[in-house]
Amino acid sequence: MSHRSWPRRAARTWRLLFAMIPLFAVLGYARSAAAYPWMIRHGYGSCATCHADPSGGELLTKYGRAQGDLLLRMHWGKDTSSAAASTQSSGSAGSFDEFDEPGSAPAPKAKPEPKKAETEAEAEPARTGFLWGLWDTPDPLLLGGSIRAAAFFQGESARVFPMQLDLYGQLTLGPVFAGGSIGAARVKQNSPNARAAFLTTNQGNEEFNLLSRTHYVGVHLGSEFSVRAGRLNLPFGLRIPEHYAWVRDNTRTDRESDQQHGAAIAYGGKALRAEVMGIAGNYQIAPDRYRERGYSGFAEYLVSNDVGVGVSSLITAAKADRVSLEQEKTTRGVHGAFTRIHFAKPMVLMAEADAMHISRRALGYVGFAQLDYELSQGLHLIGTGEALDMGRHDAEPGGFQPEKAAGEGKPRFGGWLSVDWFFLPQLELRVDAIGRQDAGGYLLAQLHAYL
Amino acid sequence: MKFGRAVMATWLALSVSMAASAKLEDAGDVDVRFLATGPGGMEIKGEASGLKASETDGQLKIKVPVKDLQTGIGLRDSHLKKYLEVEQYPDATLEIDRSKLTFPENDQSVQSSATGDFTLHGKTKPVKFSYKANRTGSDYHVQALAKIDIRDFDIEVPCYLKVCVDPIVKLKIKFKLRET
Repeated sequence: MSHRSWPRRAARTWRLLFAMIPLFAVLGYARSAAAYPWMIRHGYGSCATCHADPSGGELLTKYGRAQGDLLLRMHWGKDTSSAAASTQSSGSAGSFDEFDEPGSAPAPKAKPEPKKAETEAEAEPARTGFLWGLWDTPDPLLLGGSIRAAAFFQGESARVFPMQLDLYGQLTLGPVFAGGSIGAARVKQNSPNARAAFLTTNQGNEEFNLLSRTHYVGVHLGSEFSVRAGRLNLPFGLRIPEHYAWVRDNTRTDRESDQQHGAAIAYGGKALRAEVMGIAGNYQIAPDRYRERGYSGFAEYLVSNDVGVGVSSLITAAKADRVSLEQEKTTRGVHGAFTRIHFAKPMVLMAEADAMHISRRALGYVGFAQLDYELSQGLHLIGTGEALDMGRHDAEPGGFQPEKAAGEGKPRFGGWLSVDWFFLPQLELRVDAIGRQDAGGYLLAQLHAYL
Repeated sequence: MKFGRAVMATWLALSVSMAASAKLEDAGDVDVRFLATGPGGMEIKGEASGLKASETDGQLKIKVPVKDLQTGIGLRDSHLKKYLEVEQYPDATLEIDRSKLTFPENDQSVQSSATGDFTLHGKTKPVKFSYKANRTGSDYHVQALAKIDIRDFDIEVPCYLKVCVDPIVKLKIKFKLRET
């Protein structure tokens, strides 16, 4: 592609992208909705306050919808309600239980005078209704959804495609609740995405299928425990929105279509949150020999107001492997640790490292570190580094053993530079420049409406 | 020699007398914060914009305006001001008998606790607090920690969209007192 033709082609692509937005309402692809572990910067160390899923992701509670409106998006013009409208000093408060040592805490900086609008105007209420406030659902009913369109650029190729069409809901009656997602997707026959969540079995590259990533019934046991059974997100590691990150993709713990049927118990206390799930297998794939059974779980402890550390573990076994299609019993184990650290007001570091043992492979690992810098409310600059080694495959019975390669016996590295802009209520534009060893560089742009 | 001792004793007595009569007032380095918690580890860290301290008849009075409390979210600030009825009760105050406080020697620090009368939302209750003071000349660099139950001050427990905060709120105050 020549430099001269690039802007014209890009402009055409974007025009096409925006023109196709209405079409995305009837198309679908594979992508999970948001969970933002960096919300720790606003004092939200746990997920259950804002999400129906106790470990985060997808469907928001009414409180979560309000926080999305107040904290997530950019506010234009007069702002009386957002985080930016509350002027705090940048210094850390330190501990509220112990005295600061002299010199341990920076001298408090003079705070800017609160703006007149902040002190005198009535703060604008947050939107909590479904569809940009169109329907404020009754309290027992939660509704949400995601429509996501994407443009992918690599080398001279560019394509625009629908990425996600999902609706989520949950009904709560007393301590009992039931919920799930329903959506549509169209993926190519050899795509690793979406198929594991399909409800229908239409074949072909242009065929559409219904899918349900989650569906469950559950019961709240007091305010801290809940038990759910159904098709659930696997409780493991950092619940990031980047399902394509190696740390989610290669551990098969993403929220795109890696959910499994089973039962889980979750705990959400003041400093500790944890969830463990017994995996009965994914009953949206067949035959049964591909269904993985085992457990997955994590626990995260908030060491301080700004630091969370966690551990995760997963072991599954299947009679054959759904991804590699090896027709032998396959056991997968992934065990690791993760952390979230809120440094300064706008900056959060998230990192995860997991060891992986997979049948017929040497010990492998996967790692991830991401620095999220919120330049201005709603505008995030994100840098991500990844490392992966799935472990070299053992020699086959005939004696053949694949050579070590990046990611298969040798370390493989990747890096992302991203801009994530929540530019209007319930609208997000994200651009990721991704470079991966042995895969080159590519650009992914997404327009996301979260209903 | 005797005369010298007499002069020294007189000077010391005068110094002690003057120190006892020197009044305290705030001298900057103010940092007033509070921490409220909610379900699932939710934390609300708030800040006040100022603090005034003065001494009258051996009573030290510390006053913090609550009209401009900042919690990190504009809407939450607005809700908080309604719960505190800040137009009617614009200040929180702590009054302590100076004689109940321990003052360090120069370049020394003390750590202790005391009880003062804390007024919030128009209600006054005794509140125990711990404090630490470092002295540099006539300045005392003070830190104080306390916990209050907002229900003791007739403040309704704040809830928003069914998420309620814990009524126990932690306070942390730093400021500089100066003898004048």
